[in-house]
Amino acid sequence: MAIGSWLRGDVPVSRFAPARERCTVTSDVVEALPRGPARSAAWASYALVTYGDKLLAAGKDDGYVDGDTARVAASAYELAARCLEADAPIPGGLPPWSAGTRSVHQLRGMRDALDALRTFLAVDLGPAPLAAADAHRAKAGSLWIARPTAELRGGIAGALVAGLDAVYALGVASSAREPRRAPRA
Amino acid sequence: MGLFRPARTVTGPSGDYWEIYLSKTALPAWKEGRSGGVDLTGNPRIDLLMLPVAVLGVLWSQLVLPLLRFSVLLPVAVLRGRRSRAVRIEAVNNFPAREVLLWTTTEGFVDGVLDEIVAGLAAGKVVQPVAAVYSGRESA
Repeated sequence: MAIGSWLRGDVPVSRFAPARERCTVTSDVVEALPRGPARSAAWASYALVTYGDKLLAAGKDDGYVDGDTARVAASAYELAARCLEADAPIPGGLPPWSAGTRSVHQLRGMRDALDALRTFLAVDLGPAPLAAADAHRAKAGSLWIARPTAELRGGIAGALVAGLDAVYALGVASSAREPRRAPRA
Repeated sequence: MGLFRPARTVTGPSGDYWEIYLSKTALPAWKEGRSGGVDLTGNPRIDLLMLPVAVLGVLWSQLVLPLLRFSVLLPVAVLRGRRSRAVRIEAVNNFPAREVLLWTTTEGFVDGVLDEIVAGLAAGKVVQPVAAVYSGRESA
């Protein structure tokens, strides 16, 4: 057991296994569904699970994550499982962070989640609808350095949250209906 | 990149003069301590004797202690700045009141960000370049 992590009140990643097992939606499941409410719910669940997975995977190497990451990941898994219940409302967004500056581990998890969700939507919809998310991703990339200062971490976190919100909303909306095609010339 | 020489200067449309400084070091804040006041006893002789104690107390809390703190923290700040690729951009206007605007960017984008900030201030605007974080305005 990592004594430092334990003293800081960090949470072992293994504790999330039962909550993670309840979330069964993968990208293949979303792709197999026709556009409509069921696919929209499946997308939301997939996005939430991906968010939780990436946050936990980007944690420290000792198998622990800090308390704030644990809270957000647990909330993501809980919302993801609830999406799959009959007549359950689709969550309006990804779970929010508490106030304060994000750590590099948290930023890495957010960035990896954004990249994964963006990739899914780029295959599904093409790059054009992702322009807003890509702009936020580019901003985060321009500020990303080794050992970023608190100001830079604040800027990166703001850009990543905006990008994640954009891809989540786009995924929910585009799963519910057929995407508009550009008219033929 | 220096702490004491502006990288650029620019004059806004209303005549406000800005000096733009680049640095990799966030100087430690000058924090004055609380000077313990000396209670007057009402006895003029004793109060007169307490005067040097009061003066020493003020010097200690307002000058010596902050200077010690600054001297200890400065090398740490310089070392941390040298190891980082973050760059602070401060726009300083000293008249009619001192005003400081702070952005943080990274080494690779500093020239472009600086150009945007200078163009913005010349047009009387505080811009928020994509490759920088604007931390706000500090007035004194």
